[in-house]
Amino acid sequence: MLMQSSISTKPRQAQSDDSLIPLINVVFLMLIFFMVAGKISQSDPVSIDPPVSHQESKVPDIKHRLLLTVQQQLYLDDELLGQLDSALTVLGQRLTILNSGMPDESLALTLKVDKSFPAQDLAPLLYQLKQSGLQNITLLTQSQPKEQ
Amino acid sequence: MQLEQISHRKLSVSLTPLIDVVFILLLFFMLSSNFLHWGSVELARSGSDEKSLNAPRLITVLDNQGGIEFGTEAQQVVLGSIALSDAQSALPVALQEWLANDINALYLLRAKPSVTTQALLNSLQQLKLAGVKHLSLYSAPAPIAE
Repeated sequence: MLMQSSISTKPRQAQSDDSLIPLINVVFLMLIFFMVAGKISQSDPVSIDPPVSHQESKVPDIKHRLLLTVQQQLYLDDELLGQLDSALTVLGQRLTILNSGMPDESLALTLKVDKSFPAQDLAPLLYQLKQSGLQNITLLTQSQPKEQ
Repeated sequence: MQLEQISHRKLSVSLTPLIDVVFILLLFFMLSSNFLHWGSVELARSGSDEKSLNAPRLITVLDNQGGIEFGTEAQQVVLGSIALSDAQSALPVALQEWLANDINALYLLRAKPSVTTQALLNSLQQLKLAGVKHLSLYSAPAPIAE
C-alpha cells in the first residue's frame, strides 16, 4: 500500500513541472517579441490618430510637443492648455518662457494632430507659433511607405 | 527516498519566482511598447528664409478628395492619389505650368472648412514630391473667411 502511493505521487509531481515548461517557453518567447519588436515611448495623455504619410522621414529628437485632439483641446508637453482658440495666448506665454530658458538655440516643437482635425484651424495655431519665434515645427505622422 | 522528494520540491519552488518575474516583465513590455511607425513632415520654414523668397503664392485645398485651387484665375484641379504618383508628371498640366512660372516662390497651402488634416497633408506631400522647394502651411491670426 505504501509502495503504491509513493509510486503514484512521484510521476504526478514530475508531470506538474513538465507542464510548466511549455508555459515558460511561450511566455519567454512573447517577452522577447515585445522587447525586440515594440518600442517603448512616452504615452500621450489622450489618444490621437495621426495622419498617414507616404514619405520616409525620421522623427527628429525634439523635447517639446504639442498635441491637438479632434475636440480642439491643446496640450503642451502633456499639460492641457484648454480649447484651441482660448489656449493660444497661454501657449504664447509658455513658449516665451521656454524660449528664454535657452537663448542660444531656437525652440523646436513637434506637433501631433488628429487626422480628422479641421485643417483650417491650424492656421491660427501656426500663426501663434511663428509669433512666438519658433523656427522649426514638425508634424508627426504615421509613416506608411508606398508599396512598390 | 526522502532525499529525492526534497530535491524535487526545491526545483518547483525555484521556478515560481522566475515565472512571476517573467510575467511582470512581459506585462510591462506589452503595455509600454508602441508598434506605430512614426514619420514626420516639416511644416514651417524659418522666418528669414521666408523673407528672402519671392512673394508667397497661395494654393487652397478645397475638399478631402484632392481638389485644389490656385492662381489668380482660381483654377481648380484634382490631385491624383499619392500612392500612385511619385513624379512631377503625375500632376495636372495646368498646375505644372503654374508652378513652373515661379518655382522659387514661397508656396503657402491653406485649407477650406471641412478639409481634414489628412487631406491637407496629402496635398502637401504631393506638391513636395512634385519638386516645390519652398512649401509651407498658411498661417493667419484667424481662419480664412469664405
